[in-house]
Amino acid sequence: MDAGSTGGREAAPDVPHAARETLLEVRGPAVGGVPLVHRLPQGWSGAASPGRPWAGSRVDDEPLVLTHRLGPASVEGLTQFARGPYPLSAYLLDERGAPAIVSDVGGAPRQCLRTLRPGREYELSYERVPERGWEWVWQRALFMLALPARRRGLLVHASAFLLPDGRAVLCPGSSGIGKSTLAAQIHSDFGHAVPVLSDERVVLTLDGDGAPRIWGTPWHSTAGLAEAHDGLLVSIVLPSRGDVPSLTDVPAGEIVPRIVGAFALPFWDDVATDWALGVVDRVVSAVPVRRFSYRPRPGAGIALVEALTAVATP
Amino acid sequence: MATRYVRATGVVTRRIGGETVLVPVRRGPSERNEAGLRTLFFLLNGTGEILWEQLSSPQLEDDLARRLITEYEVAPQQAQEDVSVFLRDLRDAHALEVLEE
Repeated sequence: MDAGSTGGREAAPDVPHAARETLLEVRGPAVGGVPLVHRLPQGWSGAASPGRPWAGSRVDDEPLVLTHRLGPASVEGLTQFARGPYPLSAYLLDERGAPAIVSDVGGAPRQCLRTLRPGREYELSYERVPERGWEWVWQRALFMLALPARRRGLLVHASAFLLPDGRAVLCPGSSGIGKSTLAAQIHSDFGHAVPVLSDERVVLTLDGDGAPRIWGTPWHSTAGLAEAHDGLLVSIVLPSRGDVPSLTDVPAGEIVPRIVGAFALPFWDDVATDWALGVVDRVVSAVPVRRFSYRPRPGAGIALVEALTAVATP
Repeated sequence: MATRYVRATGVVTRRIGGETVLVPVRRGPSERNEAGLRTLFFLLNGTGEILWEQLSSPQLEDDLARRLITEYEVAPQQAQEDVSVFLRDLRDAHALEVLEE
């Protein structure tokens, strides 16, 4: 069993009951500074990695524990409050008001992620060991629940990269907004000289002095870009189409909806949501937002990095 | 029978970047989409802020419209339409409770 690999072997379906009760601890690569510890039944592998190549971020927080259980993925005691997007079926709350997520799409054997200790420990039950490729869905969902629960940070629907000085640029927005295209353009022009943290999802945390920090994640999009680095957030860029590369200010009325809509707010918990909105407020008040108009072609990424470097505050 | 509207519990509001953001929390089945990480939220403009302020206590729809007419000198029909849309959107998002008296 190799926690750092891209995926493990599928387990034999018949795991002796006694073996099922014995749990091994496997430390997985960290995301957003948070190491993930898997507790797995003896003799079972396949879910101890993000399912994608991921070296792991540096670690600066307490571990997040995920216990994997083979058996009925019961929803007893859970109340649904929202539908989930494919492949997740529903969001639910337990008697404590802690969140759970269920997947039983298309008649597939049910899987259920439950909160044991908010922000610290969760349990993922499988009626059958899932096929490979599901790990990243559940691990992304896990971090979406755990990060705000421990007041660590938030997942953001965004691409991001690091300027040559190591500070981060964030490109938030929903699918189709052009953030993955922009990330791909940066990578095409610079390669690893300008690390692209992600073309799809990043983690945002606040340092001790309240400064926003961006971390790469393994949950990339079609461009396949993911780097386990992090940097202080210095600029937010909204991509748009234009013939000549240009970096301009964004009208005030556009900023808040674009930024708020990109954050995975903990919408199951009003206290946590209030905290999360405070994080968003910190980002909006501290980080300039600009529009980058360009046409995807060689050199457009260079133009953006040069323009941002010129305007970035020291 | 009179219908009054009032803020639902568990709705989080905050000023962000000079705008009032309103997020209904834990409000029944919704279109929240984890794959797109879209969160259902509202940005309240000037009239929305006034209406939301009024809805801290149960209000009749007509009284809300009258407040807009007074505050913004809006034509009565426009005020009625604005209030109706506002109440419908927030009710659908479970941000309001409906009290039948």
